[in-house]
Amino acid sequence: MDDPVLHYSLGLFPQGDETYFGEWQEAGLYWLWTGAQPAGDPPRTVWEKSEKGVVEFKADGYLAHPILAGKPHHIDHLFGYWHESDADRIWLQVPQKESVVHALVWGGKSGVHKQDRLLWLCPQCGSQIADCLIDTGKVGMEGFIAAQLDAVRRFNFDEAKRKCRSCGLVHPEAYGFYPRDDGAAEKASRGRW
Amino acid sequence: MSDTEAKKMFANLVVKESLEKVAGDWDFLQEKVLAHFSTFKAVGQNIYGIRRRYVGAAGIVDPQKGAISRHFEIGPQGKIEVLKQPLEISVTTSGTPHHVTHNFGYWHVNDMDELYLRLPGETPDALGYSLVIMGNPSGDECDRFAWYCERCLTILFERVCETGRLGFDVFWKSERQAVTDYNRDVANRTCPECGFINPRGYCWAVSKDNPEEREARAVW
Repeated sequence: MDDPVLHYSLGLFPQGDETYFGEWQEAGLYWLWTGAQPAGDPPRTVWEKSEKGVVEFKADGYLAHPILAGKPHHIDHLFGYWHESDADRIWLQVPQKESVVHALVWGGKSGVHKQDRLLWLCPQCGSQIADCLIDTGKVGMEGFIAAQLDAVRRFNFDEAKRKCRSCGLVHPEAYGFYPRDDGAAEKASRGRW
Repeated sequence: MSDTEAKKMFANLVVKESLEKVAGDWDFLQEKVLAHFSTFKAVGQNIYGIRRRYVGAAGIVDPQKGAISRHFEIGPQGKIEVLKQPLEISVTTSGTPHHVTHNFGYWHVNDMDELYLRLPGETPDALGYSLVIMGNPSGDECDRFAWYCERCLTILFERVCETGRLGFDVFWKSERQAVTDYNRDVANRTCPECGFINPRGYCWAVSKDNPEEREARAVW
C-alpha cells in the first residue's frame, strides 16, 4: 500500500516568467490553478451575476475574492462562459515586480464539487442563451476540462445557437479554459472578453 | 489584452450601485475586512484565517510570536519538517498531524485539508500576508488536539473537537480546554514508552498564555 500524501506544494509561478498559464492541479479536496501576466496589462476582472445585474470586481494590488457556490461568474480572458459551480472558489491576485500573478482555488469542502454549469448570457438583455451541465463529480478534472471545451465548441458551431431569443443579439464566440486549445476564432474572442 | 471590450460588452447589465453596497466584504485583503479574519472566520464552504506577518526567503515572522517558520508533520516515515516557501500554495492533507514551532503548542489533526499561502509585503520591510484556508467541517468531521512524545512519537494525549457537528465556533474554547487538560498533570506529558517528560502545551493565541505556557511557547 502506498504511503498517504501528507501535503502538496505548488509554486505560484516560475521565477522570471512574467507571462505564465499553469495547469489545473488537484491537491486533496482543492483544485488549484495559477498564472501570471505582465504587470502593465489591465487587471483581470471577475464578473458575477447577481439578482440586480452584473457586478464587476477588480483591484490593482493584492486581492483575495471569494466566489461562492451557485454564483455565475466570468473572468475575462480566462474562460469564455459564465461558470456556476456547487463549490466555492477564491480568486487571488498577487502583484510582483514584473508581473501580476493570479490563482484560482476551487473546492475544499467535502461532499461538494459534484456539478458545474456553464452559461451564456446575452450581454445586451441578460437573458440566458445557452447552458451546459457537467457532472464534475463523475468525470473528474480531466473530464471537466474536456466537457467545458466541448460545450464551447458546440456553442460556437452554430450562430443560431448564439442568437438571443429575447433581443436578437448574436453572442460573441466562446473560448475554453486553456489558451493552447484555442482555434483562431476562440483566440480572437479570448482577447476581447 | 484589453479590458475595455469586456466592459463595453457588459455595460448594459452592470449594477450601477457602488461595489461596497452590493458586495460588502468582497476583498478579504482590504485592511478593514482583514480584521475579521485575524483568528478564523467561516465564509461559504471554507474557513479563512488571514494574518499580517513578515514573509521572506528567511522565513515568516509574526509580530507577536516571532519566527514561526518551522512546520512539522507526522506521517508513516515519522516526523518531517516541511519547508513552506513564500509565493507557494501548500496543502496539508486531512488527517496529517501538524505543528508549527512557537505558533501553537499541540499537534493539530484536521479532518479537512488546510491550504497555506504566504505573500511577501510590497517592500522587504512591509508586512505581508499569511493565509490559511480550510474546508468548513460538517457531519462527523472533527478537529483534534494531540500530543506525541518528542523523543519517540508515542501518542500521549488527545482531545477531539466536534467542529462538524457543533460548528467551527467551538474550536477556540475546545483548544483552550484541551491545552489546560494536557498541562494539568505531568503524567499526561510523560511518555509511557521512553519516560521522557515533554514540554507543556500552549494555545494559538499569545494572549491566552499563562507564565508556564509562555515558557513552553519559547521551547517548541
